[in-house]
Amino acid sequence: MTSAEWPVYQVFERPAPERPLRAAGSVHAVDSDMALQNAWAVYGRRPTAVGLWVVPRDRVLMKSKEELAGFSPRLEAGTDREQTYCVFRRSGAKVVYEQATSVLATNAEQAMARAVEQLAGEDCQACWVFPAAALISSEGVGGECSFAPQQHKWFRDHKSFPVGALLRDARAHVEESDDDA
Amino acid sequence: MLSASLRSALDSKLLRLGDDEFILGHRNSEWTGHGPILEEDIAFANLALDELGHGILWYRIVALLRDEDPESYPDQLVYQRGAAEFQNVDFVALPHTDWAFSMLRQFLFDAYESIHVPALTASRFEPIAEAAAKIKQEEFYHLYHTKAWVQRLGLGTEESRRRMQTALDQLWTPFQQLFAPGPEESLLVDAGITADLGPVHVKWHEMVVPFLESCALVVPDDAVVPRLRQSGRSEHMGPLIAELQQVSKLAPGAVW
Repeated sequence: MTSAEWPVYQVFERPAPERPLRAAGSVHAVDSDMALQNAWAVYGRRPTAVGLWVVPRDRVLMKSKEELAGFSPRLEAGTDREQTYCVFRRSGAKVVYEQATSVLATNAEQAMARAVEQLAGEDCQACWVFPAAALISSEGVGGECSFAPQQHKWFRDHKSFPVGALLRDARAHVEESDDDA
Repeated sequence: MLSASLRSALDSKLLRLGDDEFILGHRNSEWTGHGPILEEDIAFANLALDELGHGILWYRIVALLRDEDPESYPDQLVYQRGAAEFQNVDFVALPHTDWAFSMLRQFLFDAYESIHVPALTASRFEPIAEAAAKIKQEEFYHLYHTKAWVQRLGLGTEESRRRMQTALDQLWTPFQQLFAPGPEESLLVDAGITADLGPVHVKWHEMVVPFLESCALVVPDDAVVPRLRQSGRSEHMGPLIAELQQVSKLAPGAVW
């Protein structure tokens, strides 16, 4: 099985308490539990966040600025109950998607329309909406250490490992011993 | 102050603890770049790195007992001992045959640590209690991760279940070695410095057997814990240590 066959989950992190969620990246996983574990392995070990969330990508409606310009939502009179949708926005100044607001809507298209309305006049390069109920939090995972980022660990940047120079030294050393022999 | 006999018993116990973790971590690190998907590759490499780190924590206490520098002495223990001097149980050195094997071995070990390490946090020897507290923090995630994989493979396809069962049949008996005490270990247990492995084994058994059965696996029933732990019998240690020490032999004293 290749990773291409596994569903993708978007990963969000909270950079500090009381700060809005922001997109960290994505992971492949067969279910939300694995998604959370993979998110933690890939994004949680650097001390940049206080919590992690995942959401299946197929639950996220994504629109760029260009797509939004001609966007007209399909607003059929659904019988679905209204629910809360999270709205993430990418502004020109920030490269990452950050939670901008939340809206009540009966479906994703309507949520997108309401989000655009709310964000009118603000810089919005792209917008994501998804049901808040689809977000899975690391906070629910129990245990004494939970999925908290590993604040006590510091990883050295790969540049601090002079592998090239070391290998050259090792080769020189081997050649020297060969000469001796 | 520790008496001479306690000190010597503790020294070899710490090598057993450190070598079990370090050699397992080294073996698992061989999966780096070969995991089933990129995310799991990173996750399993992280687990391996944690085990190497735990090994070093125990080696630092060996340094303390031997009045050596805790920063540099772990390197000496890893890079300058011969294969026969390592005190790890043999099964941690077994080469991996497939993903199921490595995952199950790590799960069984994590389950053992999830019981053994909290018991060590109550050690009357402060450095052990401190090291155990640090290790405990990481073990929750290890067990969470490996349990999920054992479950997925056990309850997955016919092939994944068969591979898991083969791994269990292969690992179950050698694994019991982990619960066998070393020659002077009872001195340490009586002094409240390390944990009695007997109750650890009972709890481990109570934890893993129902879980493995819930994963559609058949637990072999002929497992007896040996009276004394044996180390240094694995034919795999020689090649493993040769590879582990290769760079340090080529460039002695290199700084990374």
